[in-house]
Amino acid sequence: MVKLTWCAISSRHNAAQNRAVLEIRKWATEGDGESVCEGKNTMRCGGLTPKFVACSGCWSNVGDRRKDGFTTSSTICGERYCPRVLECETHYVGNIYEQRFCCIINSLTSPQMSSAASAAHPDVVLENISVTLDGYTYKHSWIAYLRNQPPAPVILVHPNYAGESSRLLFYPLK
Amino acid sequence: MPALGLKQFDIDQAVFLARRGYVGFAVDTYEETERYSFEDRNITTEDGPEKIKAHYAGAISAWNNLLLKPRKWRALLRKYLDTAFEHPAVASGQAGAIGYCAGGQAVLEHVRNGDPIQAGVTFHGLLNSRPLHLDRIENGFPTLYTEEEFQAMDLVRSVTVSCCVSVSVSLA
Repeated sequence: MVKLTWCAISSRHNAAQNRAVLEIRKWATEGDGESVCEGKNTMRCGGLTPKFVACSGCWSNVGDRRKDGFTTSSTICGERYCPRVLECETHYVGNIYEQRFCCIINSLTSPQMSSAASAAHPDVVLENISVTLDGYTYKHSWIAYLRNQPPAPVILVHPNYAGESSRLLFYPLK
Repeated sequence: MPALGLKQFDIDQAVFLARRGYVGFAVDTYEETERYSFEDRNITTEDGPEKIKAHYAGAISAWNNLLLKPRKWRALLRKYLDTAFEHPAVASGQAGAIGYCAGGQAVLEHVRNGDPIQAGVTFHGLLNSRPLHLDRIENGFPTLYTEEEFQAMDLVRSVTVSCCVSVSVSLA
Protein backbone atom coordinates (compact mmCIF):
# COMPACT_ATOMS: atom_id res chain seq x y z
CA MET A 1 0.00 0.00 0.00
CA VAL A 2 1.31 3.39 -0.90
CA LYS A 3 -0.21 6.74 -0.41
CA LEU A 4 -0.38 8.63 -3.63
CA THR A 5 -0.16 12.29 -3.06
CA TRP A 6 0.84 13.33 -6.51
CA CYS A 7 0.85 11.93 -9.94
CA ALA A 8 3.01 12.79 -12.85
CA ILE A 9 2.30 12.81 -16.52
CA SER A 10 4.17 13.06 -19.71
CA SER A 11 2.88 13.81 -23.10
CA ARG A 12 4.03 12.85 -26.52
CA HIS A 13 2.73 13.06 -29.99
CA ASN A 14 1.37 10.01 -31.69
CA ALA A 15 2.11 11.00 -35.25
CA ALA A 16 0.23 8.09 -36.73
CA GLN A 17 -2.97 9.13 -35.07
CA ASN A 18 -2.09 12.80 -34.90
CA ARG A 19 -3.06 13.08 -31.29
CA ALA A 20 -1.45 13.43 -27.94
CA VAL A 21 -0.81 10.52 -25.68
CA LEU A 22 -0.33 10.89 -21.99
CA GLU A 23 1.60 8.56 -19.81
CA ILE A 24 0.35 8.40 -16.30
CA ARG A 25 2.81 7.47 -13.63
CA LYS A 26 2.32 6.66 -10.04
CA TRP A 27 4.51 8.20 -7.41
CA ALA A 28 5.16 6.36 -4.23
CA THR A 29 5.81 8.99 -1.67
CA GLU A 30 6.79 6.82 1.23
CA GLY A 31 10.39 7.13 2.34
CA ASP A 32 12.80 9.99 2.15
CA GLY A 33 10.98 11.89 -0.49
CA GLU A 34 13.10 10.64 -3.34
CA SER A 35 10.13 9.36 -5.17
CA VAL A 36 10.12 6.34 -7.33
CA CYS A 37 7.99 6.30 -10.37
CA GLU A 38 6.22 3.00 -10.39
CA GLY A 39 4.43 1.52 -13.28
CA LYS A 40 2.90 3.41 -16.07
CA ASN A 41 -0.19 3.47 -18.04
CA THR A 42 -0.94 5.03 -21.35
CA MET A 43 -4.10 6.95 -21.69
CA ARG A 44 -5.69 8.69 -24.56
CA CYS A 45 -5.47 12.40 -24.40
CA GLY A 46 -8.06 14.99 -25.09
CA GLY A 47 -6.46 15.86 -28.35
CA LEU A 48 -4.37 18.47 -29.94
CA THR A 49 -4.63 21.86 -28.43
CA PRO A 50 -2.97 25.22 -28.89
CA LYS A 51 -0.35 24.44 -26.32
CA PHE A 52 0.31 21.01 -27.63
CA VAL A 53 3.53 21.95 -29.30
CA ALA A 54 4.85 23.29 -26.06
CA CYS A 55 3.64 20.27 -24.20
CA SER A 56 4.84 17.63 -26.54
CA GLY A 57 8.15 16.31 -25.50
CA CYS A 58 8.14 18.03 -22.20
CA TRP A 59 7.67 16.07 -19.06
CA SER A 60 5.45 17.55 -16.48
CA ASN A 61 6.58 17.32 -12.95
CA VAL A 62 4.51 17.99 -9.93
CA GLY A 63 5.24 20.09 -6.94
CA ASP A 64 8.91 20.33 -6.21
CA ARG A 65 9.80 16.84 -7.21
CA ARG A 66 12.28 16.23 -9.95
CA LYS A 67 13.57 13.22 -11.66
CA ASP A 68 15.77 12.56 -14.62
CA GLY A 69 13.82 13.12 -17.73
CA PHE A 70 11.52 15.53 -16.10
CA THR A 71 11.81 19.24 -16.32
CA THR A 72 10.25 21.87 -14.20
CA SER A 73 8.20 23.02 -17.13
CA SER A 74 4.95 22.53 -15.34
CA THR A 75 4.25 26.17 -15.94
CA ILE A 76 4.18 25.36 -19.62
CA CYS A 77 2.21 22.21 -19.32
CA GLY A 78 0.06 23.68 -16.65
CA GLU A 79 -1.38 26.26 -18.92
CA ARG A 80 -4.83 25.99 -20.20
CA TYR A 81 -5.53 24.17 -23.39
CA CYS A 82 -2.99 21.53 -22.69
CA PRO A 83 -3.88 17.96 -23.49
CA ARG A 84 -6.50 16.60 -21.21
CA VAL A 85 -7.05 13.19 -19.84
CA LEU A 86 -10.44 11.84 -20.64
CA GLU A 87 -10.39 8.42 -19.14
CA CYS A 88 -9.11 7.52 -15.73
CA GLU A 89 -9.48 4.30 -13.87
CA THR A 90 -9.56 6.20 -10.66
CA HIS A 91 -9.26 9.81 -9.84
CA TYR A 92 -9.09 10.12 -6.12
CA VAL A 93 -5.61 11.47 -5.83
CA GLY A 94 -4.55 11.53 -2.24
CA ASN A 95 -6.44 8.43 -1.31
CA ILE A 96 -4.75 5.15 -0.65
CA TYR A 97 -4.65 2.64 -3.41
CA GLU A 98 -3.06 -0.68 -3.88
CA GLN A 99 -1.33 -1.35 -7.13
CA ARG A 100 -3.54 0.91 -9.09
CA PHE A 101 -2.73 3.69 -11.36
CA CYS A 102 -3.79 7.13 -10.47
CA CYS A 103 -4.92 9.93 -12.56
CA ILE A 104 -3.49 13.38 -12.83
CA ILE A 105 -6.57 15.11 -11.57
CA ASN A 106 -5.82 17.38 -8.66
CA SER A 107 -2.15 17.48 -9.44
CA LEU A 108 -0.65 20.84 -10.17
CA THR A 109 0.13 19.90 -13.70
CA SER A 110 -3.29 18.59 -14.39
CA PRO A 111 -4.65 20.72 -17.19
CA GLN A 112 -8.06 20.51 -15.63
CA MET A 113 -6.75 22.06 -12.46
CA SER A 114 -4.20 24.34 -13.91
CA SER A 115 -5.95 27.64 -13.62
CA ALA A 116 -4.45 30.11 -11.23
CA ALA A 117 -7.51 29.76 -9.09
CA SER A 118 -7.28 26.07 -8.58
CA ALA A 119 -3.52 25.72 -8.46
CA ALA A 120 -3.38 27.76 -5.32
CA HIS A 121 -5.93 25.55 -3.63
CA PRO A 122 -4.73 21.99 -3.44
CA ASP A 123 -7.71 21.07 -1.29
CA VAL A 124 -10.00 21.43 -4.24
CA VAL A 125 -10.85 18.03 -5.62
CA LEU A 126 -11.95 17.75 -9.20
CA GLU A 127 -13.56 14.57 -10.40
CA ASN A 128 -14.65 13.48 -13.79
CA ILE A 129 -18.29 12.43 -13.81
CA SER A 130 -20.00 10.35 -16.46
CA VAL A 131 -23.73 10.26 -16.93
CA THR A 132 -25.60 7.82 -19.13
CA LEU A 133 -28.98 8.54 -20.64
CA ASP A 134 -30.77 6.60 -23.34
CA GLY A 135 -27.72 4.49 -23.97
CA TYR A 136 -25.32 7.36 -24.48
CA THR A 137 -22.64 8.23 -21.94
CA TYR A 138 -21.69 11.86 -21.50
CA LYS A 139 -18.10 11.67 -20.36
CA HIS A 140 -16.90 15.21 -19.94
CA SER A 141 -18.53 16.59 -16.83
CA TRP A 142 -16.53 17.66 -13.80
CA ILE A 143 -17.48 18.13 -10.19
CA ALA A 144 -15.35 20.23 -7.85
CA TYR A 145 -15.42 20.37 -4.07
CA LEU A 146 -13.24 20.95 -1.07
CA ARG A 147 -11.61 17.95 0.47
CA ASN A 148 -12.59 16.93 4.00
CA GLN A 149 -15.55 19.25 4.24
CA PRO A 150 -19.14 18.42 5.19
CA PRO A 151 -21.60 18.04 2.32
CA ALA A 152 -22.39 21.34 0.66
CA PRO A 153 -25.02 22.60 -1.77
CA VAL A 154 -24.24 21.88 -5.39
CA ILE A 155 -24.35 24.47 -8.15
CA LEU A 156 -24.62 23.17 -11.67
CA VAL A 157 -22.65 25.13 -14.23
CA HIS A 158 -24.26 25.03 -17.64
CA PRO A 159 -22.04 25.95 -20.57
CA ASN A 160 -22.91 28.34 -23.31
CA TYR A 161 -22.94 27.28 -26.89
CA ALA A 162 -21.53 30.49 -28.27
CA GLY A 163 -19.96 33.01 -25.94
CA GLU A 164 -16.98 34.82 -27.34
CA SER A 165 -16.99 32.40 -30.16
CA SER A 166 -20.06 34.19 -31.38
CA ARG A 167 -17.58 36.53 -32.97
CA LEU A 168 -17.05 33.74 -35.37
CA LEU A 169 -20.71 33.77 -36.17
CA PHE A 170 -21.05 37.42 -36.93
CA TYR A 171 -17.60 38.13 -38.25
CA PRO A 172 -16.98 34.88 -39.97
CA LEU A 173 -13.63 34.03 -41.40
CA LYS A 174 -12.66 37.17 -43.18
CA MET B 1 -10.83 31.76 -27.22
CA PRO B 2 -13.48 29.69 -25.50
CA ALA B 3 -14.84 26.63 -27.14
CA LEU B 4 -18.47 25.82 -27.60
CA GLY B 5 -20.13 23.56 -25.11
CA LEU B 6 -18.40 22.45 -21.96
CA LYS B 7 -14.88 23.78 -21.81
CA GLN B 8 -12.14 24.80 -19.45
CA PHE B 9 -13.91 28.01 -18.52
CA ASP B 10 -16.88 26.10 -17.13
CA ILE B 11 -14.60 23.80 -15.19
CA ASP B 12 -12.86 26.83 -13.74
CA GLN B 13 -16.24 28.16 -12.67
CA ALA B 14 -16.93 24.89 -10.89
CA VAL B 15 -13.58 25.17 -9.12
CA PHE B 16 -14.33 28.76 -8.21
CA LEU B 17 -17.60 27.67 -6.62
CA ALA B 18 -15.82 24.92 -4.75
CA ARG B 19 -13.41 27.43 -3.30
CA ARG B 20 -16.41 29.35 -2.05
CA GLY B 21 -17.67 26.34 -0.17
CA TYR B 22 -20.14 24.98 -2.68
CA VAL B 23 -19.82 21.97 -4.88
CA GLY B 24 -19.41 23.08 -8.48
CA PHE B 25 -20.59 20.77 -11.20
CA ALA B 26 -19.75 21.63 -14.80
CA VAL B 27 -22.04 19.53 -16.95
CA ASP B 28 -21.63 18.33 -20.48
CA THR B 29 -24.74 17.96 -22.58
CA TYR B 30 -23.23 17.53 -26.03
CA GLU B 31 -23.12 14.15 -27.63
CA GLU B 32 -19.91 13.41 -29.45
CA THR B 33 -20.08 12.29 -33.01
CA GLU B 34 -17.52 11.08 -35.47
CA ARG B 35 -17.51 14.52 -37.04
CA TYR B 36 -17.56 16.48 -33.81
CA SER B 37 -15.75 15.02 -30.84
CA PHE B 38 -14.78 16.57 -27.55
CA GLU B 39 -11.37 17.35 -28.96
CA ASP B 40 -12.95 19.42 -31.70
CA ARG B 41 -14.46 21.80 -29.19
CA ASN B 42 -11.18 23.52 -28.52
CA ILE B 43 -10.47 26.06 -31.18
CA THR B 44 -8.23 29.08 -31.19
CA THR B 45 -7.56 32.04 -33.35
CA GLU B 46 -4.62 30.08 -34.67
CA ASP B 47 -6.85 27.41 -36.10
CA GLY B 48 -7.61 27.52 -39.75
CA PRO B 49 -10.97 28.52 -41.17
CA GLU B 50 -11.95 24.98 -42.02
CA LYS B 51 -11.50 23.80 -38.45
CA ILE B 52 -13.36 26.79 -37.13
CA LYS B 53 -16.20 26.20 -39.54
CA ALA B 54 -16.36 22.55 -38.58
CA HIS B 55 -16.30 23.48 -34.93
CA TYR B 56 -19.13 25.92 -35.30
CA ALA B 57 -21.19 23.53 -37.37
CA GLY B 58 -20.67 20.70 -34.92
CA ALA B 59 -21.48 22.79 -31.89
CA ILE B 60 -24.61 24.27 -33.36
CA SER B 61 -25.74 20.84 -34.44
CA ALA B 62 -25.19 19.47 -30.94
CA TRP B 63 -27.04 22.39 -29.42
CA ASN B 64 -29.84 22.08 -31.93
CA ASN B 65 -30.26 18.42 -31.06
CA LEU B 66 -31.09 19.47 -27.53
CA LEU B 67 -33.66 21.96 -28.74
CA LEU B 68 -35.24 19.36 -30.97
CA LYS B 69 -35.64 16.94 -28.07
CA PRO B 70 -36.80 19.03 -25.15
CA ARG B 71 -37.97 16.03 -23.15
CA LYS B 72 -34.58 14.41 -23.45
CA TRP B 73 -32.81 17.65 -22.64
CA ARG B 74 -34.77 18.09 -19.44
CA ALA B 75 -34.29 14.45 -18.56
CA LEU B 76 -30.55 14.88 -19.01
CA LEU B 77 -30.47 17.96 -16.83
CA ARG B 78 -32.42 16.12 -14.16
CA LYS B 79 -30.07 13.18 -14.47
CA TYR B 80 -27.13 15.43 -13.75
CA LEU B 81 -28.89 16.87 -10.74
CA ASP B 82 -29.74 13.45 -9.37
CA THR B 83 -26.17 12.33 -9.97
CA ALA B 84 -24.91 15.30 -8.01
CA PHE B 85 -27.24 14.50 -5.12
CA GLU B 86 -25.74 11.03 -4.92
CA HIS B 87 -22.23 12.40 -4.55
CA PRO B 88 -20.90 12.29 -0.99
CA ALA B 89 -19.66 15.87 -1.18
CA VAL B 90 -23.14 17.18 -1.94
CA ALA B 91 -25.82 18.03 0.56
CA SER B 92 -28.58 16.15 -1.18
CA GLY B 93 -31.55 18.27 -2.09
CA GLN B 94 -29.68 21.56 -1.92
CA ALA B 95 -28.90 22.86 -5.36
CA GLY B 96 -28.63 25.83 -7.64
CA ALA B 97 -27.73 26.33 -11.27
CA ILE B 98 -25.98 29.00 -13.29
CA GLY B 99 -25.50 29.36 -16.99
CA TYR B 100 -24.54 31.79 -19.67
CA CYS B 101 -26.39 32.15 -22.96
CA ALA B 102 -27.66 28.67 -23.82
CA GLY B 103 -26.65 27.63 -20.34
CA GLY B 104 -29.09 30.23 -19.08
CA GLN B 105 -31.92 28.44 -20.79
CA ALA B 106 -30.69 25.22 -19.23
CA VAL B 107 -31.18 26.87 -15.85
CA LEU B 108 -34.72 27.82 -16.81
CA GLU B 109 -35.39 24.31 -18.05
CA HIS B 110 -34.53 23.03 -14.60
CA VAL B 111 -37.20 25.29 -13.17
CA ARG B 112 -39.74 24.42 -15.85
CA ASN B 113 -39.10 20.77 -15.21
CA GLY B 114 -39.83 21.13 -11.53
CA ASP B 115 -36.33 20.11 -10.58
CA PRO B 116 -35.47 20.62 -6.92
CA ILE B 117 -33.18 23.59 -7.21
CA GLN B 118 -33.56 26.52 -4.90
CA ALA B 119 -31.79 29.18 -6.93
CA GLY B 120 -30.80 29.87 -10.50
CA VAL B 121 -28.89 32.62 -12.23
CA THR B 122 -28.76 33.16 -15.97
CA PHE B 123 -26.20 35.45 -17.51
CA HIS B 124 -27.38 36.94 -20.76
CA GLY B 125 -29.36 33.74 -20.96
CA LEU B 126 -31.70 32.53 -23.61
CA LEU B 127 -35.30 32.23 -22.53
CA ASN B 128 -36.95 29.72 -24.80
CA SER B 129 -35.11 29.00 -28.02
CA ARG B 130 -36.65 27.60 -31.13
CA PRO B 131 -34.63 25.00 -33.01
CA LEU B 132 -32.95 25.65 -36.31
CA HIS B 133 -33.51 24.18 -39.71
CA LEU B 134 -29.88 23.39 -40.34
CA ASP B 135 -30.65 22.42 -43.91
CA ARG B 136 -32.41 25.68 -44.74
CA ILE B 137 -29.89 28.45 -45.13
CA GLU B 138 -30.93 32.05 -45.69
CA ASN B 139 -28.43 34.88 -45.80
CA GLY B 140 -25.79 32.49 -44.66
CA PHE B 141 -27.61 31.36 -41.53
CA PRO B 142 -29.93 28.47 -40.76
CA THR B 143 -33.57 29.44 -40.41
CA LEU B 144 -35.44 29.20 -37.15
CA TYR B 145 -38.44 26.99 -36.67
CA THR B 146 -41.55 29.04 -37.12
CA GLU B 147 -43.76 29.50 -34.12
CA GLU B 148 -46.22 27.06 -35.66
CA GLU B 149 -43.51 24.47 -36.17
CA PHE B 150 -42.30 25.04 -32.66
CA GLN B 151 -45.71 24.53 -31.12
CA ALA B 152 -46.15 21.36 -33.14
CA MET B 153 -43.12 19.83 -31.49
CA ASP B 154 -43.33 17.39 -28.62
CA LEU B 155 -42.89 20.11 -26.04
CA VAL B 156 -42.77 19.49 -22.36
CA ARG B 157 -45.32 20.89 -20.00
CA SER B 158 -43.71 23.33 -17.63
CA VAL B 159 -43.98 22.96 -13.90
CA THR B 160 -43.69 25.68 -11.35
CA VAL B 161 -41.33 25.18 -8.45
CA SER B 162 -40.30 27.30 -5.55
CA CYS B 163 -37.08 28.72 -6.88
CA CYS B 164 -35.44 32.12 -6.98
CA VAL B 165 -34.21 32.96 -10.46
CA SER B 166 -32.08 35.92 -11.42
CA VAL B 167 -31.90 36.79 -15.09
CA SER B 168 -29.23 39.25 -16.13
CA VAL B 169 -29.57 40.84 -19.53
CA SER B 170 -26.87 42.50 -21.55
CA LEU B 171 -27.86 45.83 -23.05
CA ALA B 172 -24.90 45.96 -25.35
